[in-house]
Amino acid sequence: MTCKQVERILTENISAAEEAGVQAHIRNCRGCDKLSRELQSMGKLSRLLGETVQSPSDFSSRVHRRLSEDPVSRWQVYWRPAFVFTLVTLFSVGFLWVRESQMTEEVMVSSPSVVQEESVSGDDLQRLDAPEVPVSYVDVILSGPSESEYILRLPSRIRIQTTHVNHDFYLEHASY
Amino acid sequence: MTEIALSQPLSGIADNALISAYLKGDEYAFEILVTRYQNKLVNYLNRLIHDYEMAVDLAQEAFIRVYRNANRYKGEYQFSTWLYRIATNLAIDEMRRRERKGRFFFYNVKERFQQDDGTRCLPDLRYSPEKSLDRTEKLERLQVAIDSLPEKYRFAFILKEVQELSYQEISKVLRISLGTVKSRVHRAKILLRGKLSGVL
Repeated sequence: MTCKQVERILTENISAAEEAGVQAHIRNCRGCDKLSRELQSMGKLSRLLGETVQSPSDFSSRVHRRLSEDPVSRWQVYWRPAFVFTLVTLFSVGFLWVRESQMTEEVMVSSPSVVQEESVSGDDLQRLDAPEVPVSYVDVILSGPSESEYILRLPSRIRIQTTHVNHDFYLEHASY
Repeated sequence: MTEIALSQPLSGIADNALISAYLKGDEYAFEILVTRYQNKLVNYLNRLIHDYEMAVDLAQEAFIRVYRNANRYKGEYQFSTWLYRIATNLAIDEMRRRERKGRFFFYNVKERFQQDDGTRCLPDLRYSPEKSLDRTEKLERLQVAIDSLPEKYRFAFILKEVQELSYQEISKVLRISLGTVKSRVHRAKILLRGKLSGVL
């Protein structure tokens, strides 16, 4: 048995099986004998340390006083569940909103071409701020990722910002 | 309803039986548990946070939590393990709170070694052959040495050597593996031996 092994066994408490081997080593090793005695002394002092502090004599009655004075607080009973419910609701709404926005299909505009132009005015344009101004419409063919095509009818006054990527471009932003 | 007879010796009733009796409505069973563990708990908490009044306060809080959450106790490990877990968590919370506030943990040390003029005279831990230490001095030096250990070794050492919990119990209290507990206790003892040269 080496000194390192004995040190490990002594610090982790000796088992009955190890006792004889450790004692035999200690008899012939002054360093491990000293270690053994010091660890025993440390153990005794530590156990004494565990007895030096006493709780106050009225400890138990103080526990009961606190229990009667501070029954489960209103916070625990009423406000904490309400607070948790609000947090969960806000989190759920936020999660659904983010998920919805992520599900919006990104549509690639390949070679937007003017299919039809016509001037319209009057009631058809009431939703615009300036209904008096004649506005032309432009039909833009949009091809989606699933090879489906969409026709997007836009007023010709719309401003389309595009980015060229491999001769295709993406509809990034549109505004009146 | 199971009532524990007042005449029955406290030492003869297992903790789990007391918890069961308390859950069935026997308040006296809870009383016995408080009596059985109050000193150990106050001592343990005082070793960790060095503030006796706060240690008493936290120990009371631990029993209040037991009182209110006894139905959550599964019984798969010892009651004392559960109680020490609650107390340890309370102590860690308090220690973190004090760290945030920038308070130092020289509380008792300061009181113990404060001189009349208000200055502090920390003890010289080195061995002096002409000076034989009495038990109180040795205990004081051991406490100072324990306080200087890194937190993870300090918790493991106090639970093992001062509170005399088993390695298995400490493993559950600190939620670390058995091997880690043994390793930390071993390291703590080697460090302490170095710090207490000539004292042991």
